[in-house]
Amino acid sequence: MRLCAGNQDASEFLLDSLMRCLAVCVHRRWVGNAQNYFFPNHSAVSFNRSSTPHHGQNPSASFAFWGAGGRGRTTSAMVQTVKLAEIILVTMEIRRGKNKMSVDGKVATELDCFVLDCAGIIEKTTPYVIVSGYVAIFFGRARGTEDIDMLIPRIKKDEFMKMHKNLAKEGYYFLNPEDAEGLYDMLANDKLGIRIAKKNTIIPNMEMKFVKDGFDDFSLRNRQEVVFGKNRVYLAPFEIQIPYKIRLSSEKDIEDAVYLWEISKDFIDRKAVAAFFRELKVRGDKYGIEV
Amino acid sequence: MKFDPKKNTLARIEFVRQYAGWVKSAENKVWSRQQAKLIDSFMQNAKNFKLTPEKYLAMVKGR
Repeated sequence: MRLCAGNQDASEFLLDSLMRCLAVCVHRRWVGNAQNYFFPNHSAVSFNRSSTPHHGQNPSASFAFWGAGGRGRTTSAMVQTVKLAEIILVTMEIRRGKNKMSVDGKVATELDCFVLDCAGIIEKTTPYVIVSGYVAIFFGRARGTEDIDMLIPRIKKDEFMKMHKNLAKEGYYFLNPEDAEGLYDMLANDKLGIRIAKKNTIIPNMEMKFVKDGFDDFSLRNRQEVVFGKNRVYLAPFEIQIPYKIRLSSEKDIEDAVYLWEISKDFIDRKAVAAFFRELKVRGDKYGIEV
Repeated sequence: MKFDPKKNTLARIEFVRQYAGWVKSAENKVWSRQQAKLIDSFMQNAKNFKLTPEKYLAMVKGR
């Protein structure tokens, strides 16, 4: 899987890949000591990102200068590592920038197309964030869903009327029998979700709710802009999704949490995950989610 | 043979973990193409459900 941040330069991109590549080698026990394997003549090479003194240069130059022992020289081991990193760049790259990710080359599913179309219309009126199961599915979880959960801020009635009109114009309807006023009442006063689908269909549908608590508010404020191809969708951050899914506690939700953790554990903010675990009074360690 | 729900859950979680490992090791176009086949077939199948909005809402009420 390749997730790329949109705002980081190529050298940082390559160095991150190298570090990940070395970590994978050690993890898989391909080599006993990755440092000695890749840098047999250099005792002071560090795999820490902070030890990249030539940040900003082109990737190969940055790499050649990386590490105290090999200053200015490119050894065969380094070349070998760069080649390996190139493979990694093609086959395994998980990256994320602040509130922005890209998933280059992802093939859109019918579900993705529904979400993009429906969310695109809603976005004309209000910001949104998609939470729960679709987040795991978007990143590759092998399961279907009949509904997608969307949170929006508490908008005014006239804004909702505008959204309602826009959706109807584009061939959507609300599964709930209420009229537009009644739907707004459900959202605002009863704190219920309302369901949107394409005309003459039921599945898939978008279940829309107003934010109702601090967790919802966090998801909306820290939503991740995820770009794939020419498409863009806003998803809840992994940091809250994982503990929240554990709290929901159904078999499906726990599997989603484990999946998201496995996909994101190399770049996730573990302190934030731990804080949400505490806030939600749940634990992930019994499922292998060790923060 | 007796069904062990705890063992079953652990086995399912282990599968999810292994699958995630494969997704991480595969190119985006590879895993997503395979996933698209699965999800698109779910979506096609969903079109065969003879549900009315009323029946569907009754079904998902309280979820």
